[in-house]
Amino acid sequence: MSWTFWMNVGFFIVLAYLFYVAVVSYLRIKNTSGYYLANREAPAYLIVGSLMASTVSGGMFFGMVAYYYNLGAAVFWMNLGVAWSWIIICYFIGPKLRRFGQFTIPEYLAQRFDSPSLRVVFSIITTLWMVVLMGSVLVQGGLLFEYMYGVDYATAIVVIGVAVGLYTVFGGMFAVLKTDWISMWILLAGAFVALPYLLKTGGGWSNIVDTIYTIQPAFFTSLGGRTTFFTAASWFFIWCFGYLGHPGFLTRFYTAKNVREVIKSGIGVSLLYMPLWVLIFFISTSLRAIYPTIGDPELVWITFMFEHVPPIVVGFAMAAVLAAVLSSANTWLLTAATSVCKDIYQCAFDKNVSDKKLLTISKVAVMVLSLIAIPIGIWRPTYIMELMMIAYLIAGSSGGLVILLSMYYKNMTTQAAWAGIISGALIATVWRTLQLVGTISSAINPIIPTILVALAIIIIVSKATKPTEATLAMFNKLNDKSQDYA
Amino acid sequence: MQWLKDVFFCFFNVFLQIAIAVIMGLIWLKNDRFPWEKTSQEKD
Repeated sequence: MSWTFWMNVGFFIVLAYLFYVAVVSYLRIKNTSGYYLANREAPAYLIVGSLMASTVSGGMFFGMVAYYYNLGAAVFWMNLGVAWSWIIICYFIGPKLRRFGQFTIPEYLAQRFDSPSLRVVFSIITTLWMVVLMGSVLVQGGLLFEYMYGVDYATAIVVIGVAVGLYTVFGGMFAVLKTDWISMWILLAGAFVALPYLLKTGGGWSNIVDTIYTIQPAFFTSLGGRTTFFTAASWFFIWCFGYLGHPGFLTRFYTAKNVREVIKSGIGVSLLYMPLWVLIFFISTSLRAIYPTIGDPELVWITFMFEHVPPIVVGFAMAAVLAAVLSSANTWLLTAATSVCKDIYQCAFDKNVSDKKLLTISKVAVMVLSLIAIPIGIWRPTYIMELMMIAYLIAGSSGGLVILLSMYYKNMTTQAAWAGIISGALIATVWRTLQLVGTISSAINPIIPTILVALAIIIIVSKATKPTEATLAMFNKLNDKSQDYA
Repeated sequence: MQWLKDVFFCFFNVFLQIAIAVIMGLIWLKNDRFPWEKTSQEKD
């Protein structure tokens, strides 16, 4: 039997199982609540699996490995930003969203601030950056197929884009939750499986460390020798606030059985998240020592796997990457499609749309959005991590701050919410665009100044205006603990 | 073990985040709320 045969055996066993789960999930879906929210009966372990698998996309094996490879331990500040966002999301935002108990985040903001048009505008902003995020996920899948089967990169992107779209169309949230739970274990195993081979090839850990000190002496320090304090701080805040403003994660809490499950999911995700990145750090460090110079660092992990690991293990690990790609892509797609249907179509065009018609439109929206992301994937304007950071910069600046304040700043007014969202989105987008076209220096990342300015604007506007009865009533509803087990 | 000294600050932050998350979660699960949150009766 050939090398490729055994690789395919490992690859397709995992893939077949994932699609089996998607089909079973499809048969369980009866209405939009089932499709979007898995009937609001998700236990903590499924939420943990979904948060983990969605956050750890194929970017872990490509983009993040490349970042650790180039910049050393400084990259921990990105992961720590996400880790602290889990504490805020699961303990301070999730319980309130569960008490609110609707479908989307724009829907929450519109009701919290008694402003229906806020729902449409926030949904448009979210959908735009989420398509960029989808593009980055397709790049991961495209690189995988290109490397595995030698197919043309553009063809690989089209195949993965259509596959992800179909997969999400069929499964909905049941498939997202179930396959994410399985994907989480597959990708954890996929990461672990490489380590013994890496240590063996690198000549043991002490040998790897000696090599690293020769090629990049500050690799293990908290700034890695190639990053400034301000850049590291910016990474921390981009990822922390980006996640706070990411409906893909926040809507998970609408699916929870009760608030207790939300809290349990906070413990679970925190126990798993950072240890995984410590593992990735060790993997990337070993790769740096084994391949001191490589043309495209995003391919360093996959290159090692194909050169040094038995074929069936490679097949399994590649399936882990594909599982990570699918689990992230279906989350982004489903969240964006839900928002397009509920917040834009139903809210602005057809308030009395039937449940059946809305379900059909949702599935069409999933396919359309996955097709829109394909050109971004083919274009591949920059590295995976850069694409993701642009998306999270806009998410954090426009939504993260406003969502957090909306739950704890009682006197925050409708006008302040509008001002915060618009100013945050505008400053971050314009600033970053001018940096990308070379008009202004890239030395200062916009996230910290944007957050500070948006915060000041929200406070000033809130002081200058008055909250309405409706906004105060909604604020009180979020704190009504009698809803915790409803 | 110089590498361990170099990476200590990062690893310390990792452990700190996990410890805080687990302790806070367990406190909530024990009392069904955080200490600073009011119960329904207290609110009334």
